[in-house]
Amino acid sequence: MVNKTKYHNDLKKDAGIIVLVLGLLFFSETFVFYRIMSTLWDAVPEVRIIFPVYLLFLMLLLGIETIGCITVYKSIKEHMYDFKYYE
Amino acid sequence: MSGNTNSEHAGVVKTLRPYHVWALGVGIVLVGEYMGWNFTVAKGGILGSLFALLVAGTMFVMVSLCASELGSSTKLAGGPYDWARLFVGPGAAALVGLAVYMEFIALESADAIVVASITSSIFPEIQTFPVTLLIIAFLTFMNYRGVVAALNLNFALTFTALIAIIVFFFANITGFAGTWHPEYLISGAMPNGFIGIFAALQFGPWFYLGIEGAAMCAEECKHPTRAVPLGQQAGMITLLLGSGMTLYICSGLIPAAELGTSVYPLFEAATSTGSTFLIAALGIGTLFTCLASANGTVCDASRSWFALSRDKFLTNWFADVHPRYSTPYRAVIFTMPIAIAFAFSGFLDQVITFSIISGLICYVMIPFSLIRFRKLFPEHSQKVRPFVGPLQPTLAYITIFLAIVIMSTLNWGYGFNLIFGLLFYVIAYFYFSWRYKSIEINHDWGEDLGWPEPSHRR
Repeated sequence: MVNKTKYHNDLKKDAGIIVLVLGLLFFSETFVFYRIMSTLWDAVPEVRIIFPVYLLFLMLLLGIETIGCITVYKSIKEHMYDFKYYE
Repeated sequence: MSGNTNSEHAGVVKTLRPYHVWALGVGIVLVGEYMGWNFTVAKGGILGSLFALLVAGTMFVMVSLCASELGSSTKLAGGPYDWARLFVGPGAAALVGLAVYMEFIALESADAIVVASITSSIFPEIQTFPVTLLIIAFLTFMNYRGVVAALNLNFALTFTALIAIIVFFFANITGFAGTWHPEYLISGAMPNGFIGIFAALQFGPWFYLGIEGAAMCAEECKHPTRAVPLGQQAGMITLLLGSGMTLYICSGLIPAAELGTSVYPLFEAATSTGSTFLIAALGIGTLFTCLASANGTVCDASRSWFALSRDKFLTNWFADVHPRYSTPYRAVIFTMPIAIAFAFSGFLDQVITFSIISGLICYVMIPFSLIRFRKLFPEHSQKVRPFVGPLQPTLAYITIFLAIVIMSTLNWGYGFNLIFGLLFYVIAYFYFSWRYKSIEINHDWGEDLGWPEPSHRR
């Protein structure tokens, strides 16, 4: 018999880890991106031309990683009882 | 390595958890934040480096998702080699096996060169090359004797090195460690124009090279369908964190011209702060990551060579397992002359370039294996595909495209290396395809993996 309370608590821990590292990733990548771009914005005029490409890849990177993490969470939730993940 | 014939992994104990998968991936790759990535600055300045970080990062996030799906489905220790063997064909499998071998051997040489350079800078009377040889010999001996204890030590070394980067970053942004110089960024923003920014992509993979190796412990995981995707994604996020922090710290603490040629940029950045604690932490971090990475690469490269030999792509002589230490000792010893040959050049960028070319071959083949896998087994079932990656196979196609684009940028400065590397792999592909024709393939999906027959055979 599966202990559902334990499973839900452990699933929450997995979700907590994912949210924590994703939060840190969003903070660090946007901070680094903002500091470098804002430093160079006025001094290097070419930055304005290529800025959209940088922004596109930043959004792709963070977006795909977020979708990937959500998928991992959903997969764990879907299979946790079948494969007895938290035994 | 294929699970059905691998004597070394037969009956392995399934105890590994998500943090082990994380540690295996990050352990080999974190060295990329400590050295090598800064050649992006030499090509395209700070803007080139940021571009390379973002584009290569996007590609590796997608590679990780492909590896998560393939690793948690097949649950085999061979990783990219096994995926190509199962879903593409023997020629492609041998090609990937050889590319993984070369990628990791070149990485081992690069690590040894950096450790020797640090030693020589501390003790100027010592020459670099003899120390490089000594390190390669020592690591070969460690792996000859067995790697379990060495890999456990790797985890501790890697974690220490990661904490050093995070502490340095937060100490710097809160004003406790050195002054961040905006003028360094402005003077070195884009020294070679737009072409330089694009050319910087060639060293971008160094930030994350080898993360797909995390899925190679799937066979030994207690719950691979949870451990592989979770550990792989956590590892990828860790590397993205480390790369962003490293670029930020180094670009504001070291002038771009010096940063582009530095052998150990994070250590130099720490030195510029004057903080004894940070100098010690980053110096130890550099040594630790190089040793941990080199040790892990000897392990992975020798297993790849062993698998090629065991599956009859090479002479069977390399497939012997040591009676006492249970290691593929001949394959381990054979890593030494190849690593020394790479190290003999003494040029870190040349060695890194060959490792990147080999890695990019894998990054074309991994998503291609996923596309083939989904065509062979289109249904989503717990047995065949318990973890279904998002947005596939679209992401797989984009990954292949980005890997080819990044490979093409090697044309700027490393055109001959690129031609030689591709020629080497094309010849290897045809040689192995020809060699394998004489061997009868007895592969049964049900017997080997417990899967139904592929869709086209039903």
